[in-house]
Amino acid sequence: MIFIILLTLITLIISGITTIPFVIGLLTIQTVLFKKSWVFFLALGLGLFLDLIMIRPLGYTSLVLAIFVFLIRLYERKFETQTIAFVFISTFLGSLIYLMIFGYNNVLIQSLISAIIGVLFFKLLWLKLGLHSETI
Amino acid sequence: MKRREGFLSAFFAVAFLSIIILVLSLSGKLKFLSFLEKPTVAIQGLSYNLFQKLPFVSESARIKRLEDENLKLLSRVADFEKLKQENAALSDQFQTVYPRSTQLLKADIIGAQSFIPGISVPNSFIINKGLKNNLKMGMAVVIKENFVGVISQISENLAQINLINNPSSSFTAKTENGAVGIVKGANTLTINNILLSENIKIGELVLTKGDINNNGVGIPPDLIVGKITSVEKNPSNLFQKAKVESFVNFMNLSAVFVYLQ
Repeated sequence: MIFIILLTLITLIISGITTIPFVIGLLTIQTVLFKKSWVFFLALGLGLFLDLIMIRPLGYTSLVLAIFVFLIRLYERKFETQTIAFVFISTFLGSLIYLMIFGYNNVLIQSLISAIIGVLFFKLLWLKLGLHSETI
Repeated sequence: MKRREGFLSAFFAVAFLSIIILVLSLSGKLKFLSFLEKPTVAIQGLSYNLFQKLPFVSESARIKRLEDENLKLLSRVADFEKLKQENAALSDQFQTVYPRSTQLLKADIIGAQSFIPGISVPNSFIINKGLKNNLKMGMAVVIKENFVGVISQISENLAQINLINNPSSSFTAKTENGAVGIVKGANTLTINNILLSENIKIGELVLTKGDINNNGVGIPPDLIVGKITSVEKNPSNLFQKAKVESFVNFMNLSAVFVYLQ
């Protein structure tokens, strides 16, 4: 749990200086690993923080992030979500949409980097939590 | 099914809360929450200052050794350097004849999002001044007589500056010889829509043409945008365009000046 809190704090700090949406990767990992409802409230908190530092209308990013988490949860029944492929694709698409909504540059390369880092942290957390590796 | 219902209710609760906050925020009823900006500014300022040192990462091993030796001295020097930098910035700006120092408000940069921090050039800044300091949307931001950008978002304590290299940035400008065009931001600055009959040369200065509204808010004339580095002139086109290079190094700025009116 400490590792996850630390990861969230690092994401918050990094969000202020880079346009790469690490927050999407963080939410994807937490959604697929824990499958808990508190991830929605985490999305709300992270979104409000990002709105504050980016001077956006409060609640805008939270809504986008909450819909993103909701879509991942919807796919739980159709796909095996705890796989590298799913984390990569969902982080990539999520980042792409996020960057396009908020009007950033180099959306493809940034989404790709976000997805790669998301997968690395997913693998790291998977090992850290001592989960079975068959599904990966 | 029970678990599914659980996440659905959580989603609807968060989505509903977000929409309520968004509506209240857009209608300006959440201004009392501006006190929340202070802790977030602190976090942002911390990360910005940390990554300002990134260009020196390649020397990290040597610097780390030196840092250990000089740790005590550095804390004192840091305070002194900050004061010195601030003094130099103010002194530089006040020596500038145009724009007059009385029209300017100094603001510290506390955030600059870029693709790769410390390597790629940012296209927006967050400054530590906002509505409380009488800033308004559309106000021009300068450093010496160089045009830096325009305030694009504003809250009680903070403001976002869209730099001239921002893809959404667009303003009228003129060359030293009076050729008028539109400067657009992107990875490289370009001045477009210059008539083919106009004679523009490499090395020529590009200045703002001026675009100030009735309230005195906007871009003042004759601020330096940059110099022309290449010209693209095709007789079959209606207009010619040129690449412009700004004299400002956006990565090394720590403070800017907002042109009040």
